[in-house]
Amino acid sequence: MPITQFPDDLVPKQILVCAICGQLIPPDKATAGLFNADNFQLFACNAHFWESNRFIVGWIEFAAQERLRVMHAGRDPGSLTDGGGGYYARLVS
Amino acid sequence: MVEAGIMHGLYREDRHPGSSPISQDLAKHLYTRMLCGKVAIVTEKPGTMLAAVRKQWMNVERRIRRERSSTLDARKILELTYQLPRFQTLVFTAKRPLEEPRADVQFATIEDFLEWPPQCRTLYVACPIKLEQLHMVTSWMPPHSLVVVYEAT
Repeated sequence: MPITQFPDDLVPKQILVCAICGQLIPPDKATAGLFNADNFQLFACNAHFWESNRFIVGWIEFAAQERLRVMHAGRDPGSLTDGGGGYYARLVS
Repeated sequence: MVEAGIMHGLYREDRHPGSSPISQDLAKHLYTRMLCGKVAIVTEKPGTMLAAVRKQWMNVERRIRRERSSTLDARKILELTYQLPRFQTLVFTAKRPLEEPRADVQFATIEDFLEWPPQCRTLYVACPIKLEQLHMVTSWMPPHSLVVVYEAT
């Protein structure tokens, strides 16, 4: 079930890395989460989703580490999670 | 159920909430996605869904606060000083998108979103809609945004 489509300008990945436990996971066992410091979409094991604390604390730890990367790169640390970036229309086919 | 179909430039995640209510699954998923930007939720009953999600959302917020009060990890404390204000200022609305376009989490029917397509990073589809409606409603989403479709609906 979970990730059933990737943006068409990306090569669909057969294996993703869980941002929480670091394990390799197939897309059908992944759930989408935060962006990392490089603005790439990150994923986690869907199994963590049902472990209440693990899921939330795992993402907090991940975001903390990425925010430090943003700060060390001299960027605004708020930019990691302020949903920044302008919006514009995509072409609908 | 929403048919599978290509939405160019977007991620799609299909979710089955199982025996738990959609609102519970959605509130937890929303935790990571609200940090990525605006969120839109397509539902048949915006007011009812907003109330249900908000109730579950408060449970998530309580967990975050508990983590903030119990951790001694400086990195986590710093992170939560960024996240907690976002929780407090997050605006949920079930008003029509034309009436409150600046809300962070917008609940509306598919008819309302077709009239005013959401410019959001995450779209949750919590009711059956047609594939062409899905294409139209996602047309203003930025590239690499996420569409989450609840399959059991």
